[in-house]
Amino acid sequence: MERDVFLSRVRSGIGRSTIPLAAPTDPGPLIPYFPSVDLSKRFAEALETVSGTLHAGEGLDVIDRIVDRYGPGRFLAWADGELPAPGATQRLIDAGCDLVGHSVPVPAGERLDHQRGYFDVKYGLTGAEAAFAETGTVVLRSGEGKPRMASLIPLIHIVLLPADRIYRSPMHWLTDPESNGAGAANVVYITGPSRTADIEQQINLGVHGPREVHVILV
Amino acid sequence: MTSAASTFAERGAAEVGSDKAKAIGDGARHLIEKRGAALEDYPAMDAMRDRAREIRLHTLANLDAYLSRFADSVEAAGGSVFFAADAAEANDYILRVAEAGRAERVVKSKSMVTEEIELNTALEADGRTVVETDLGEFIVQLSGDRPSHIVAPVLHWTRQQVGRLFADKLGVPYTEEPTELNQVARTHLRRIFLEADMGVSGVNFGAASTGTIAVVTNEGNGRLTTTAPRIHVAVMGMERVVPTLEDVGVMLEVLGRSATGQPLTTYTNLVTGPRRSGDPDGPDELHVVILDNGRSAVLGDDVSEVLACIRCGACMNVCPVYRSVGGHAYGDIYPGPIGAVLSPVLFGLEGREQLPYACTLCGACLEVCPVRIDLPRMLINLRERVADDNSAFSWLNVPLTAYEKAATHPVAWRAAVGGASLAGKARRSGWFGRLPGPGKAWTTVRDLPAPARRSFRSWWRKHHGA
Repeated sequence: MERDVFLSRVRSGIGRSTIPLAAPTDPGPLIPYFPSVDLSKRFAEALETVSGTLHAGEGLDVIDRIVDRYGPGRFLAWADGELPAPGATQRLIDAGCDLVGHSVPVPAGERLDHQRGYFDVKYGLTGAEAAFAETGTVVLRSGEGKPRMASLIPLIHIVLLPADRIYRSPMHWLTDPESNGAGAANVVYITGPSRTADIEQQINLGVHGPREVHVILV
Repeated sequence: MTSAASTFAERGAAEVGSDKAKAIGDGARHLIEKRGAALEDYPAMDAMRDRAREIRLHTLANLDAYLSRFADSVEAAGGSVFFAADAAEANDYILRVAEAGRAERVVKSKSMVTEEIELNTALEADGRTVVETDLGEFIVQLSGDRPSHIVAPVLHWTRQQVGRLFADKLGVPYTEEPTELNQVARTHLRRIFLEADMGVSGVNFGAASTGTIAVVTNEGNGRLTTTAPRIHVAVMGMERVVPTLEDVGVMLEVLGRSATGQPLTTYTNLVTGPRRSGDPDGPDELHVVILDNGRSAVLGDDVSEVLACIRCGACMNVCPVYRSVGGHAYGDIYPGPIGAVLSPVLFGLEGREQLPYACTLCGACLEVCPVRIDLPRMLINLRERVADDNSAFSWLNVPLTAYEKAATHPVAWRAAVGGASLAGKARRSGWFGRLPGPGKAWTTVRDLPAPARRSFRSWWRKHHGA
């Protein structure tokens, strides 16, 4: 149906033909109230509640310990220049992991072959541009050198988060003029590992996305 | 949408007391308890619900303008927009997109609106394969069943049933361990995701000012569906738009907490256009299909507020009727109190005359609704329509006329009340457990309070003199 015809049906449904767009007079608060707390402590608690893990004060040594525990494997990573701690990719390589190339756009015809190569990706290494203390969330933005697949397809997602990027809550971030939540094709809030409770309400992790999310404060 | 030949009462009577209905009732109770726990940590909930309601009602009152702005913004971000008057137009457009993009393999993330338009049937009839990727919806599709809840589609399945289904249909060894069943689904669906040509999602909210669509899932299937395939088609009920991205944020504050007690759903995916130049991945094409399908006709009437619904499912989780009969008794894809209003309004009252009566008017749904939709009032409005439209309800005139006579004539009233007080047996417990005659249908599944030992009139005479 033509847009104009569709919209005129909507207009006649509403029962008027002019368009008053005045916002509601008292719409209530935009930013929710929370009692004050220590941000990074609250973030650690909230992340733990959603089955994620926070690593603070250990630097990139955490990466070695993760690979020690789960063994080497193939990994996807953001480009070095997009990571807040550039030595991280090399750490994984030094630990015996293989980097799956992905930081340039894939030519259209090769997309399928390329994606088939993701089937057994074990680790994903990304940065994050913000985090929410109240919910244990990290925020990732797509863009050059920042494949979405790196946070989506691996079994274990390793996130490098600058400590000064923790906001109180989603609304605190969204209302910050610098957040620009629509400024990329994809902005995702990731709140712990992939989960389902579809079978008998029992929580299971890693149904499609990562089973573990490790956030390293840098 | 289905419109079954049987009535709600017949379907409900068949379900009440069954293992299936009990499992659904338990699941619903569990979800509403989780909501309660989440609100203890969120003192702002009532204020945010007020704001969420304002945003939804303001948008609905100006829907034409916001839809127009939304479409402009999606196009400015490089996406395409199609306005579909009904299910047929929506499906037809999606098939044309699939044809033009040579998309044989389609994956879907969970979406009520694509169930409403029966998109899977259309895609399959066109010779394309379509796979549901939400674990619950995958089970539903594999078994040919129907969802029993809008958020948790297989509340009515046991792990043993899922184990047998997977062994039977996927050729894997039988297991009833949820962790292993989960792994089976992950492995099976992973290759399907990575090889799919087209991904179809719903839209939780659309932001008019930026053209951003929000798609939330816990499993990550929504992200895979909107990232791996070349083409992303997002189907949106036209009422899902809000003015700005900040308004989407307000909706997210109340959505997860109301649905599952989660402050945020695991993956909140904000999509603004297809992949941009330099992006290493993401879809090459984004198509947003905006669906009317009966909604514009509701906008101006006395139940228009039902379009403010954000599909959290809290109303069904708290509803005593839903928790007794389960989701299937409602006959359509939208069950519970919201379904009892939405289905007759969108799909027609005919054949759904009993749905407005599938309610005790206890008001629990209004109490929990994140946008404070007055469902009990709307159910009464719909009852009026049913009574006005339907001569089948003329039998009610006889007892109501009798009641009117008795209630306005003191002598007749005393006689009637005296008759009721003769029922002596239930007096001691205060309840009738089982009654004969016209009371039988009621007391088969419920108890009826016995009349008070003494009538109000005689109490008044004693304490205040006659």
